Amino acid sequence: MENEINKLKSQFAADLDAVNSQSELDLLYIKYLGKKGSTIEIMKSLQGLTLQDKKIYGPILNDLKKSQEAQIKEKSIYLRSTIYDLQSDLTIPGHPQPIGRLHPTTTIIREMNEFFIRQGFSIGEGPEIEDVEYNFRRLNLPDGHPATDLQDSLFIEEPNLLLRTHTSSVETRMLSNNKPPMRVVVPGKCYRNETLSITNSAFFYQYQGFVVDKGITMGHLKDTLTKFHQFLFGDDVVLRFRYKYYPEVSPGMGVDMQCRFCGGSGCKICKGRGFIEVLGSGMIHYNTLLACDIDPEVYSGFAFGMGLDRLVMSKYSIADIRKLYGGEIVYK
Amino acid sequence: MKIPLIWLKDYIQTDKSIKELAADFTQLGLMLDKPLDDTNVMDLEQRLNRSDLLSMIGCARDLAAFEGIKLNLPKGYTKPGHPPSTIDQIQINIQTPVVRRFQTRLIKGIKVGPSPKWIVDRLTGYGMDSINNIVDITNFCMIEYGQPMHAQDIAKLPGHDITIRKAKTGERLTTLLGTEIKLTQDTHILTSGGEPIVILGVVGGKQTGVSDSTKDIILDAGNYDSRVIRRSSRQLKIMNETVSRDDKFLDPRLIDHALARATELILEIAGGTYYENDDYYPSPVVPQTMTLRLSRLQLLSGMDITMTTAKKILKSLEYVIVEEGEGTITVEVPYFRTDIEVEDDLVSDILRINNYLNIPLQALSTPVPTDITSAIYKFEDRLRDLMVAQGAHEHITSSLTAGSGASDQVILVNALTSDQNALRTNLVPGLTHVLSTYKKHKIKTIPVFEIGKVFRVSDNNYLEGRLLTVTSGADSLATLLTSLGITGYHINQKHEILIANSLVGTVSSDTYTLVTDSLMTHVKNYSGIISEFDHSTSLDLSLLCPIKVTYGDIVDSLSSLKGDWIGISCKEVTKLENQINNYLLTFTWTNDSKSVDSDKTLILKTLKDKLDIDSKS
Repeated sequence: MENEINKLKSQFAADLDAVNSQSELDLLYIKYLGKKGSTIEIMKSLQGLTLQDKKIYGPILNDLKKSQEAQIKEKSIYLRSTIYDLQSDLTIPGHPQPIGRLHPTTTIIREMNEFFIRQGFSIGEGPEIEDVEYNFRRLNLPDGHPATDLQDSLFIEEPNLLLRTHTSSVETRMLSNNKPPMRVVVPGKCYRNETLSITNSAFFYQYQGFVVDKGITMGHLKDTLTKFHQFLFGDDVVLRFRYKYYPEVSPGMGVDMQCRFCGGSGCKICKGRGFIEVLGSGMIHYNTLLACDIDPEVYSGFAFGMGLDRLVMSKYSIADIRKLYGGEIVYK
Repeated sequence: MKIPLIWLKDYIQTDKSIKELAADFTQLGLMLDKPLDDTNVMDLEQRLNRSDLLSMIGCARDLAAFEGIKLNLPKGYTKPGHPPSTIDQIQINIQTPVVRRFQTRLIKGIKVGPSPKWIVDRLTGYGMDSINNIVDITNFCMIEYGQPMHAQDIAKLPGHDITIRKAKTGERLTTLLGTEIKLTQDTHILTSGGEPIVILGVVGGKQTGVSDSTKDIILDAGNYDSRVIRRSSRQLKIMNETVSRDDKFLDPRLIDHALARATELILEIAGGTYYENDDYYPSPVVPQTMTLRLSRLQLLSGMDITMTTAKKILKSLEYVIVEEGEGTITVEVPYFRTDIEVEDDLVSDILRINNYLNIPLQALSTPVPTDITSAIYKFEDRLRDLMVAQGAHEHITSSLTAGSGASDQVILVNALTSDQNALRTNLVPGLTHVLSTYKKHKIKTIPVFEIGKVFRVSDNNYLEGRLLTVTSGADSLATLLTSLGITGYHINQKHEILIANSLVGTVSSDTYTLVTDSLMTHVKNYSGIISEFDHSTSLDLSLLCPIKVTYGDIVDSLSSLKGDWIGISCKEVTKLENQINNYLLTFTWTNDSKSVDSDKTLILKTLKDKLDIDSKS
């Protein structure tokens, strides 16, 4: 017994000496004084001894336990004082603390909103469960137009009730419910009957904008979009404006941005084109204004719309849209 | 649409490189679908509205106008054919309103053989295999004019007629490519002697196809309801060059030009004699006219374009000026421009050919309109900031989910997958998935939240609710509400959050949810800042509560009392033995209240009477 006690004492002294941090000290405590710690175990073994031996070793072991507890406490105080020393070393880099974060799409929407609010735009909203009237008809998309194909939309009740396929439905609602002049942007969720892949999701975001006033021209549209892209990408951005057909506008206009990776010479990112399509736009269709009860002979307007996800993904280097809205991203 | 340079140059003379031409097409609205390679073929995107741009001539015409160069068009065989003898005539019966025009011609005594090199070169450049001279000519003319057409061997026709009608369920047809198709009533077909020989506007049958032994052919070109063709092609899952044109809006007058050209080429290359046959065309199209005001052109463009320029451009696109007035011109819209709906489409054509690059930039200069941003949009954005300030992470998860079978869930009728065939009714599952991702990547427990819509159907009304859900507990909720200036809220037995007796949300053991638009009505915008310090009196009561009694019960039982206290809060709950919980509550009075003692007595008596609660203190 005496041997065992001495062995325990010297092992404890050696172990204590090797401890360099509070967590190591905590482990040491468990090793000796925990429920199955060495000191505790040896105390339990007293039960098997004779009464005489119990009288001898009982007090010795009690003292040992008290002494170990005291030494651990002392070491703990010592360790704390060395931590203080570490804090005085200003060359050690800190560890970032967790903070609150917005979703990447919210961040980009806010960035865009900031630009347009400064230009006097309001932010518009509308229902996600939409009527064919606002989603198609008032956008100059009559029944049977290829763009209204049933299988491209997610229907709740065929053929009249669906999930909005674009934020343009908010445009027709706002044009119908407000009087010009109007300057509005609409960030919003949209839905299409797409098979899920890296680039396609049935659930995605668009950013829409429109202006209706007296004397609005394509020059205003080009200017607004130029300033917007300069705001987003810098003054050296190069845009290409070209004709493009969209049913809800006439004249329609496609906008491409010179590829920022190759500077226009053609690369993988721009698929050799030198330019990347960024948005669709145009002058709001005569029939759309009429359908929304705005006199197209008095007012004219422009509209533009863009997918938001590709931009968010490129700004944050996210390769897969499924992760963006699938709860599969974490923020550092 | 693939444009082989060699074919394009049949109609225009240009020294521009293929790269420069592709750039011009881009300005015109036809961007490259694939990057250029060394084959001298441009692969241009298709456009939904311009059926003429699915033809070589259509593309060449726009390009010629853009470049300001001459467009050379083939003449075609414009002389009338021989009248057919009664015996030879193929009877045409149209039994459906889907057909707007169906013209047939007979060419007899032809010699089927290989095509001349110039046709093979052009078709190969376009990406089509050469079959024989007759089939190649029908394909060539389809691509040249955008009008599908079709040649069949008269000797192989089962009857002496061609009838167009709806198919009957159970009828079958083997296509030119050898696929056997089971027909349904939704498909329209050509029959002869009662047997199906062609699927209307989609694909020809093998039985009557032109082969090396063919001597006499019947050539047809039709104009059909594009919606019907699109529907049958989608249903049959057949997509080809014919469908991609027949499912667009073509003008019936195009048939005259395309068949004249095909007749010319067949007679020239395969020989034979041309006989007329039936031309079903019950309601010939009336040419469309449209008036353009110079003022409208200048308004939309913001440019000082002259009428001279406008007229020159419109003429180059084959508009015919029928009337000129003071600042206006009236034009006849060319037959191939089925896309022209309104005056602004003429403006569009003029600006397009004039090149959009020339439209000058103009800053918005009208007065800034009234802000019509909704209050709820601004409020939800504020909620985001307040949650971020608490250290929470915002997430956005899909509104599409798997149907649970609940009767109030909104179900999609045509979803592609069963895991996305319904709309979410709450935000918790999405956030739970986020937390599992966090756990998987060993991210510390951080509260996550989402602000978004949930959906329900009730009595055929589709409802959209706006929610904020947070994966955090009571302290986070209290922090959020306090920062919105809401200090008095109440959670009842059903775990509903009430403010001034109105429901604003719910709590669970690890999340809470607020209905943002309900919450918004209780918010105080300028609160939480103290400059006048008003001390209050408070009293702690230690209560011994039977185990089933909750804090909510205590507050409920006191709510109807006419006491003077202004606040109650729970400091601590400890579990004692004998099915008793010890609640330590703090009651607060204004500093000048004189009824603290009497209120205390009232409170303790009420709690004893209603809930069998004893006081420890």
